Amino acid sequence: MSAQAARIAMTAPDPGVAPGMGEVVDVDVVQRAAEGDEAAWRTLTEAYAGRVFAMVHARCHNPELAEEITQSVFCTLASRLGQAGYTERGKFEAWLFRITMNRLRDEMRRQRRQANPTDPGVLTLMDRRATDGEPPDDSGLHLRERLGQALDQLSEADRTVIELRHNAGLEFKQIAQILKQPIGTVLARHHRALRKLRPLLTDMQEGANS
Amino acid sequence: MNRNDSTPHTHDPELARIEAMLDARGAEMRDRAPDGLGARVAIEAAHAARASRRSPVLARIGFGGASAWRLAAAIALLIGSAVAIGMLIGRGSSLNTLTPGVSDAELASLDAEVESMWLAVATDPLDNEFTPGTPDRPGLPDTSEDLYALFWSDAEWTASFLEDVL
Repeated sequence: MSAQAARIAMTAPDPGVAPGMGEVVDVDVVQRAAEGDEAAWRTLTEAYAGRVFAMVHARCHNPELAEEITQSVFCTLASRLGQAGYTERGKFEAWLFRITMNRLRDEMRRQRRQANPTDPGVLTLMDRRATDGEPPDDSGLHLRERLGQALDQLSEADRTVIELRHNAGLEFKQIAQILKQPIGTVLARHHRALRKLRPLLTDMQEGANS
Repeated sequence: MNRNDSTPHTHDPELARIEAMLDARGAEMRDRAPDGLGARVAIEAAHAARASRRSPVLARIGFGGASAWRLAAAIALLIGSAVAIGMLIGRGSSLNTLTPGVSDAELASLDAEVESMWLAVATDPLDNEFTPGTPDRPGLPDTSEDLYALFWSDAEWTASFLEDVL
């Protein structure tokens, strides 16, 4: 295996993605992590914990629960690495996010039987607006809120592709591996999701302006 | 972030704008990760990896976090206890055996010897009327009264006889 092929992550960050996140995590790090090396795990969590957290938080809207799920995802990963070693060479990220998706699915199934908690950040903002008489600002935060609301209206499959692409920052090839779908299907689903979002965002924009 | 593939929507400015919004939202979601999340997760994950690596079975029964020397000491203690219990049981069974280390043939020979000794005593020449008995001749005459009379008639002889016999 060449040095290039041994790398499980790539160096060149995507345009529009925060700089400094194009970490290189090679097979050696994963193997040391499988042996329980804490420094190796720090390298892995610095590269991926935020991305896993973003994926989970976007769904459960609860930072404490998102942190708990993130931790359990990495513990599951660690147990599997410790027992069987790292066998999926070149597919580490896809493997990690497949574990995340499965864990998230279990959690969503569990939450369906309970009331969904509201994001404490949204509650704080609503409270501040109510007490300070803050005028509605339709730019920064509300854009995120509108996007969140629009995403909620997408189908489960479309939303999953969008979140894997934009929250987890994965390539279409990796998303296809995780979802076990042809890459063409993933590309088409992504395109369709964006087209569905366009009128939703426009309607919301018009509603906010009127 | 390690995306290398470019967006396929750059030809449509509106879709590209939505993509950029989604990317910005994703970045914001990642930035909302709590401080120290990576470090906390790393500690737990390293522990989980070590535990599962040692032995999945041991990890499941709660020995996952034990160090190697502790496990070795526990196993040695178990083996030592088993050996000690085995030795105690073996010794106990030896104590309860009447003829330890004696084979059946030797036991039969010893039995015969004791029998002949008894017969020799019974055929003491002092009692002329006493008929030597053998296993082939059951129904020996009752000589208990003669012996009784003999014992009480000569106390000195009786004492020496008993001393010899006992």
